[in-house]
Amino acid sequence: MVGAYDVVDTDAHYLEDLETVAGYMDEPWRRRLQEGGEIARSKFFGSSTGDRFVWGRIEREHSSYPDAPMQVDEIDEGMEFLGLDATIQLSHQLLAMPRIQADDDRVKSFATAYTRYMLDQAVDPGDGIYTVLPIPYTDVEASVELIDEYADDPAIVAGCMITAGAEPPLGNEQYNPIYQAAEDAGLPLIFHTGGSGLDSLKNKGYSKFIETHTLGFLEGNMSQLVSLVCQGIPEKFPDLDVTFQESGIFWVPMIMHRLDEEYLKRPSEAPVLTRRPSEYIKEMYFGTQPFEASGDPKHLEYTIEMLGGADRLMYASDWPHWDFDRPTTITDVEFLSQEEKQKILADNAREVFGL
Amino acid sequence: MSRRVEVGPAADLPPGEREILSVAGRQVGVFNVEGDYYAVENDCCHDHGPVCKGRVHDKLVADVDEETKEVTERIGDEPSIACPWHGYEYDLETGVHLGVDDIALETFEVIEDDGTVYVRVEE
Repeated sequence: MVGAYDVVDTDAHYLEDLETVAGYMDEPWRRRLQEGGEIARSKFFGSSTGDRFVWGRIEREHSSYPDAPMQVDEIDEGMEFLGLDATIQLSHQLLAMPRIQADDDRVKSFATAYTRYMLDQAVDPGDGIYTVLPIPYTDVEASVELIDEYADDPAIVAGCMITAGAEPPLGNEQYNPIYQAAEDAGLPLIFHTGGSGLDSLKNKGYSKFIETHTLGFLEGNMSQLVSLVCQGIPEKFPDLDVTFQESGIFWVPMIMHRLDEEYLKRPSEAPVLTRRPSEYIKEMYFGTQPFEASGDPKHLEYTIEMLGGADRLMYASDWPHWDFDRPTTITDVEFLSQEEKQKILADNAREVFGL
Repeated sequence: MSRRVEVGPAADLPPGEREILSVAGRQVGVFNVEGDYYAVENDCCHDHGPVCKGRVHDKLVADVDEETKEVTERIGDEPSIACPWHGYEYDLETGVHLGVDDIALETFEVIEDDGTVYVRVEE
């Protein structure tokens, strides 16, 4: 009552506890939301394609992720758990960068702040802890400024371009100043996929993370590799070291073969190129994670051979994410020689990143 | 040749509890799930993760309607265990991976005798 008035509010909101509401759901949702923890509940509305941790099945020791932000001493703990001599830390928050469409300077602001923070608090080349420069490539000028300012720092070993959701694709000429600055500074670039936009991947409506992760984390890298090669980035910046991360390796020979077929039939659409696309790709590097080692070993052996051999691969853990790889994924491969394993586990990275 | 290895008093392993013990150089997880005992090796077939520290619950199954082919997911009545490292999930009774039948954890017979729980191991 307000005065003598009967009052009806036709739009108010009640923030319900999803765990409690789940008690009224039918299975399997009740179990998913009640036993999956806060992470699973946060994904119910937040992400229609589900929970990276499979509704509570996957858990992490040695890391506060995904429940809370990590502290810098967890880097040491992760290194000890995995048995690492050196680690290159990449911003987790950066992975969502392409989701930001706002026409403001937040990406530049984050990239600068992250770099300052890591240099101040986290990295220590003496202990083998390095990081990479987040490249806010939607702001080309800011990207070049960051490279110019930080590329010489011994703890900064590369720049990182997030491939998922990059528009226009990263071979576009608008990015040339970034590649020129990186090449001039001797700064390798890591092209790293991400989960940004997985829910609306190509055809909206996928219902399971197994679908969107299988496709999305691959599509991010695949689309940018095609763009880089067809637009002639390796030809225009021949001294730029390029590494792709977090899509495994089986996709690489597939795209090499497909691109070569297209190139031979449509060379006029890639006039900058002087060689088969696959020959440029064989000069790039590929992170191994998630290493697809569960199938027939001879297929894995052929795959490594097709993409250029052990010289092209770098071990990557992706720790502490859900599908991390331990170094055992490489040491357990029977057909690799000791020398090849050492190249993949460390030597290639030490050479490219100057560790 | 097999022998019984003592796990401990049954009273210390009530429903919902588990015990991980070392047996002849390897680790075995012994579980009491709603009064039924199970035992599997604590060595995930994927990357040797501590599978026996993982979540135990009745496995999720899918029913496909014969006529409409629509899928209904439901909680079944057979317990499974998921490796906490990467999610490899196994039938707790047979040890077989839920997705493929050529990947399996070793299983062990569990015996309760006069208030004490044992696992039987082959040697």
